[in-house]
Amino acid sequence: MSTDFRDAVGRLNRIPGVQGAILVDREDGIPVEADAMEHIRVPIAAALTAQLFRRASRSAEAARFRELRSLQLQAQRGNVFAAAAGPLLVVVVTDEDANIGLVRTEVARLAQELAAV
Amino acid sequence: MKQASAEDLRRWSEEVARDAGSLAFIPLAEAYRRQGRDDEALRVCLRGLERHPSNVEAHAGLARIYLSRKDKEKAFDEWLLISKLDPEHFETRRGLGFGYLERGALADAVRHLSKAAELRRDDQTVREALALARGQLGTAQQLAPKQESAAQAASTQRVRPVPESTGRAAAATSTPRATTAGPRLGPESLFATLVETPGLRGIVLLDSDGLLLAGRMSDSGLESAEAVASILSGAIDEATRTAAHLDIGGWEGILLETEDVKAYLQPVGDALLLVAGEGRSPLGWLRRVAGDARDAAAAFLAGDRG
Repeated sequence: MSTDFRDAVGRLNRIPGVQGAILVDREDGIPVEADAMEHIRVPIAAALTAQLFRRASRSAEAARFRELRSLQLQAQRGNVFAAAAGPLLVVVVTDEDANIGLVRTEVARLAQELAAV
Repeated sequence: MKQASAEDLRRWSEEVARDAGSLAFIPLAEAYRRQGRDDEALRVCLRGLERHPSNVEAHAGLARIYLSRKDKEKAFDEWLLISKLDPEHFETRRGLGFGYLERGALADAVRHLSKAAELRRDDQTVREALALARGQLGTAQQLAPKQESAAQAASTQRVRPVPESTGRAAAATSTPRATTAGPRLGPESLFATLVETPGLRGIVLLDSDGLLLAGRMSDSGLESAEAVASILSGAIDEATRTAAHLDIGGWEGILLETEDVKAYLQPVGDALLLVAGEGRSPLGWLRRVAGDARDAAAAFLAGDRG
């Protein structure tokens, strides 16, 4: 399974503009597998994104929007994607030049694959 | 930790140089920090953490280095991480408790300071901070029902449904973009045209305190719009910190996808704008509608200040 996880994040990381891909334990925010550029501090990125996802989930439920599947944080110089995959989160950090549509599609595909495992 | 001697420093430096996996980087970084050599301390600690990403004492040391550099946000993030790795870590509980107290997140402050006081009963500063947090929380809870009813009365007045006989006509003649020139639109008509758009669930504009300024959700009442507002205020702090930590600049929007809904949250000055569409709505379309709503909200807010 570990090799599968490694392959999965490696696949995401090959998309142009992706700076890092991390599989995160959704509950405690600890990284399970990661492939990221050196400047990305994986444990902090994982913990903060998991926390953001949990808070956004609570908002979505309070608004009766039902269960949160994914979020995208857009910033001036990049994006953070997070998608629920069973007990995990698929987290991807991109720069501003990444093809957002492609990243979204690949993140959603991987999240579906992992959720089905 | 006692003051490190020159001999200690030399020994730890050599050990780290000889073996990149050595844990000697922890006392070495701490010694540098104590000598005021924060940049060297940071470099040594970050490099060591690459080999030992789950080492609690290394993260705690990094939090202290960030504090020495007056970067409380990053120190706070380290403590958040440590709290997952070791929930019984006193320094972390104390740091989180003080951090939340400074932010006015009193319930969280009480939770962490209580745990810190449990872990080290003789710590006077923790006991004092806990008493302060509990006192402030008690006052806030006493005031909350009064403020809530006042806010609800004001909000109910603001988002009162427009009477059918005049509402559609007003919506048909007053587009949001007209707010820059004509008389200022009221909160009930600000997004009137947009909210009627098929596929849209609602638009909500919140002020910097998380109170509803204008707008509504089509099938979830005012109550839930305000609940979302209060929770989203916290999410914004996290979005800001996440973006800052990853060095990707200021946050510009958050797109949420649930089973039923696609929602786009964006800042408009100090306010927040949430635009929600049906789950099957195309994202590009939603972002375009959100852009129109942002223009209307910005004009409304400019009028408010003008």
